[in-house]
Amino acid sequence: MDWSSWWDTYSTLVLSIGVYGMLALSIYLTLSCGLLSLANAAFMGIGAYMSAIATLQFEWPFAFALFLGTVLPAAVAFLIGIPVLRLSGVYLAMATLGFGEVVRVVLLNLDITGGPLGLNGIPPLTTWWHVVLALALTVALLQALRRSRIGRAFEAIREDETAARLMGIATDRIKLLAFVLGAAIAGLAGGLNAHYTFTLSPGNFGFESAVDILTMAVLGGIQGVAGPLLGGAILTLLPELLRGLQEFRMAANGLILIAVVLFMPQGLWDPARFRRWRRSRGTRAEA
Amino acid sequence: MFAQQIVNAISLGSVYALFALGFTLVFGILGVINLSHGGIFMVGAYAALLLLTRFEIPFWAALPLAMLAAGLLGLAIDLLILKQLRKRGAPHLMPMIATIGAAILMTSLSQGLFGSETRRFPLDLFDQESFSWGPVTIPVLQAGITALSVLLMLLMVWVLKRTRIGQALRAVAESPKAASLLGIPVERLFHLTSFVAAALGGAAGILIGLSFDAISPFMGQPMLHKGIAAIILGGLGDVRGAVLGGLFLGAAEVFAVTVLSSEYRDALSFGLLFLVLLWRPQGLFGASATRSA
Amino acid sequence: MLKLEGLSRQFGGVRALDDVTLTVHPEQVYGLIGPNGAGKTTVFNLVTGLFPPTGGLLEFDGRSLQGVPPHRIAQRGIARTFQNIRLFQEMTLIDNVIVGMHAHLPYHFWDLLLRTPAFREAERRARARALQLLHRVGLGTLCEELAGNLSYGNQRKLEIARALASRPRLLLLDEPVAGMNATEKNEIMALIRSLRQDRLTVFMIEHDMRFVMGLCDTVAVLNFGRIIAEGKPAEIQANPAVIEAYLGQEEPA
Ligand SMILES: Nc1ncnc2c1ncn2[C@@H]1O[C@H](COP(=O)(O)OP(=O)(O)OP(=O)(O)O)[C@@H](O)[C@H]1O
Ligand SMILES: [Mg+2]
Repeated sequence: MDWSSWWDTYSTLVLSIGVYGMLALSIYLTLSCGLLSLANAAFMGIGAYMSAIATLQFEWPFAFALFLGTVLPAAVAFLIGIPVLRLSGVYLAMATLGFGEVVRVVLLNLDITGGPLGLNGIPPLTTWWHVVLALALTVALLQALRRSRIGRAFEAIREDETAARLMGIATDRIKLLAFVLGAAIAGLAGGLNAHYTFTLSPGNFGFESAVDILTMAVLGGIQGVAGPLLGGAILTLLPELLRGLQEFRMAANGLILIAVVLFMPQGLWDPARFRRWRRSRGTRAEA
Repeated sequence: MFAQQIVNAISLGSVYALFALGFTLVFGILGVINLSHGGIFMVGAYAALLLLTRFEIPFWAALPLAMLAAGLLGLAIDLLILKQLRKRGAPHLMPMIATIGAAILMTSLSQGLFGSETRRFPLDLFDQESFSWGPVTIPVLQAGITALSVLLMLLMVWVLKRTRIGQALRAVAESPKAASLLGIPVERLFHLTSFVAAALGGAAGILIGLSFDAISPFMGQPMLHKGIAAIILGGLGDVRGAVLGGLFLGAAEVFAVTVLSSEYRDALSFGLLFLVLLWRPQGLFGASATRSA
Repeated sequence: MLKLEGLSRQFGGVRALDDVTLTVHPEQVYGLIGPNGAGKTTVFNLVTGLFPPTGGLLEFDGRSLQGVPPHRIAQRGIARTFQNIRLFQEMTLIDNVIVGMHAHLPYHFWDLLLRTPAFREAERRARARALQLLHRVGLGTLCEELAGNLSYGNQRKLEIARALASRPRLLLLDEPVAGMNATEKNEIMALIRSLRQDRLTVFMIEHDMRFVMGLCDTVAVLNFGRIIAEGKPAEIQANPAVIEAYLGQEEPA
């Protein structure tokens, strides 16, 4: 099979690995700050619709459309984040789930979003290097944050929010930052996604997608940026590999979630476990 | 017209309340949000369907048997998943994710085993009669559904308020550690709670299957959403609150259809929940702070 | 420096603090003692802004602490340790200490994105100072360990290092030697003496009488939310009301 026909068959899959990697990173960002927010699918939806409307109906340039698709969800996150982030734990999870449902129904009922039919004929503008560039920028941003006072503040808040506050960290602002940046990344991923799938419908951004995104991060592990990327890639490829199972295909996702939580709570990519392995192999080699 | 709406609201709300009751029991006593409660609800409905159609068991026997099946499923989830996480002292994110996994597994298995299409309980199961009472018409079926869910709820409340087991359960809800120091067998009560909650969830599945005349592998997810909304409206972990939250939600949905377009109805529960959380995180009816949420 | 005037706090029906008035002067080591449940930790919680008082005034350096959020209070120069240790368990010792410097790292968002020289210099200095602080409390060699792996006594020392990282002018220590052995207690005593030489003001809660009497200039006694005595250590030890309060209790720790 030559390159161009291979690409015709698999380009969607390859681009999806990158886009879902970004989504997994977006939820990793909030999780690393101790926030269990399930709003990222909704932010992805807002970004996807915003940028698709910009290119489809206003015929604005793609770059500007992506910019809008990044900024609008971030702005929405800023507005709802101020009240919502006062909640924590399950309450936050439920509230963000509620927000996601509200977004879905709004998309379902607006005229400009095409109602239940969604948007069709979105120009296929996303190419491989757009995705690579966006992913690289996301990774660079997250790595820069990680090795700075903001990354340390995320970690401190995740471990003990009260202690972090008493160390002089403005926890409300830091959490809002994580929430808004997560929304921006999810929105950008949504904008890229819309411009290679050609169609959008509100159902793509509901509870199931929220759970999918969470699964990617949990499966891969949230000890660093490699984990979510790995989780995103596996869960994007898995349905293709499990095609033969037909209706039972989703069962694999369910089993994976349970198995990871029970047997690998740190996820697949766990540097501490790798160190332990290396150490135990080292001692065996010496013996 | 208005009286009819009220009757409809109570009837819908009481089944929501029944579902929410089991859901909130697990949170109140085990301290975890069991997101597979919707899956159990769906399995309860299919279990009853199977007993009625495949084994041709009469309804009065199929209902408790299906509840038993749902209860056992709940117990299995507790033993295989929740108990392992308790032992490890896992953070609250973990049981949520694992039970989402269990729910996906149940949905997918039902889809594979029974197909994706909507199924119905056999038509000749019940009287198609209805009573009329002034302007209000109540089909026998609807009356039966309401009566049954109210009965189950009263039974639960009685157990919790008046029996020794109920007293022990309330002690565990207060603090599992203190309860175990008092010699209360906390683990066994956790198992019992999971079993009973799941049985109630299964019963709600059967009753919703009857009242909407539809059973499908996907019926659990929207119900779970409503259950979450109901228990948060009522205050997490609060039994009375869950019942009130369920009734309130039923009423809100029935009356919303008269003012809003029906597409917005499903957003209503979550819109409400979203607002309530911002305004009163302890719920509309709950007064006390809840344990370690 | 720190002034509490008529401070009260109620939890439901419980009067945890009732009309507490005291003043901690600059460069003092001020001790607060009292039986279990007297309300000592509650004093610290109010001073650090964890929750608001139900009555009374709180002043630091002549400015009210009323309604100031905890992180701002910390930034004004009050740092604390916790009775039930609250470290960031999964972070290394050195990172724990650098978190304490959060408000003092003088770089902007774009500095960290672009890794500018200002950013790198600030981070390098922070690490160097954190290491210095760890050496000061005797944990320098463990700097890349995870905090959760430390022994109980070492965790208490790390909490002090983390608190010092924010360059406080007032240090609140909540039972700094609880659960420590005699050697460790002596180390902490020496550390607090050296802090006083650096002109730091220390406000401390402690049950160990030898420790309190050996270090403090002034001691106040809290019982059932009220101050029942205040004065020099020797006066406090001879005060009949204090002896009464402690004898009325099962086990004066
Ligand atoms: N957050 C809170 N909510 C409710 N009650 C509280 C709270 N914090 C303290 N209390 C109550 O206030 C009283 C004083 O508690 P506090 O912790 O200040 O005592 P303490 O003097 O530090 O005791 P110990 O020597 O045991 O540390 C106790 O009765 C306690 O139960
Ligand atoms: Mg105390």
